[in-house]
Amino acid sequence: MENRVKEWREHAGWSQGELARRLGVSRQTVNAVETDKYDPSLPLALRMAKLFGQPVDQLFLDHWEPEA
Amino acid sequence: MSEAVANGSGGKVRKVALQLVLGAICGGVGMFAALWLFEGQSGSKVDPARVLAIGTALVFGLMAFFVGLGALAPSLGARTLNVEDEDELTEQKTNLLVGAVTFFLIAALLTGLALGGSAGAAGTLLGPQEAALVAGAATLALAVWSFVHREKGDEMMRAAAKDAGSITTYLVVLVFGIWAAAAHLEFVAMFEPLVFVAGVFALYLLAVFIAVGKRGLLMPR
Repeated sequence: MENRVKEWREHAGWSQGELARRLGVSRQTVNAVETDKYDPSLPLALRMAKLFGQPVDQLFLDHWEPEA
Repeated sequence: MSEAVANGSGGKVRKVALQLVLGAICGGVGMFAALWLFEGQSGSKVDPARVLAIGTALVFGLMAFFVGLGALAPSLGARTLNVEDEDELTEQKTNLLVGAVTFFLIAALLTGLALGGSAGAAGTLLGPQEAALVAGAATLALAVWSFVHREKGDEMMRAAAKDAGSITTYLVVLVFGIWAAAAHLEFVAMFEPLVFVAGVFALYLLAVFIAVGKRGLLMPR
């Protein structure tokens, strides 16, 4: 899923390792999320949003629209 | 392109080249030594099923060695494993050790089976009882070890492990299911038991690479 995790991480001035440490996951997971190779679980997405002080839909971009 | 970027990509290429060369040398020398040992013992050609088992065991053994090296000597491991730096290995030490022991146990299981059999057959270095003891102990240890550490790793690694499990099922059905069906209809000969055991682990290895590759973990870092 398209996301702005890298953008917000860099805005916070954190390395991938630092973000991984704060989230309690591996650097590989942070890297995979940022490169759109892995969609995080809902709990991890919520933790990321809390960490960056942003709503989840500012971090993860969903272009789906409900049918009228 | 800046010098730093050029140096960075050059470093990655060198690292991947080193990993490939090291893997090829270790695998080639190991396989040659194993076949030389077996064929030297009996003076005849080794059964292809044993070659498959030994080859698969060798790959798992090499993975156990390099992953274990990464856990116990991160500065050396960072040169041979696909990581950013040695700190990443230090952070992942527990998971790496769990992986290294798992790979070692699979290698031991396959080696025990590959070396076992009735006396006189090419490649047989262990009697059926000794081979069963080695393979049984490795299987039991593998089961206990996997159960105890089933929750290790973060969510992506657990997702990759589950994915690898389901891919393995598809591959086993595809390869051995079709083979067995064709053998039932007498188009081909039925596979040997050791081909099935070694083949399942070889397909599991392939499934692991597919599962981690999908998540970008095989991209040079």
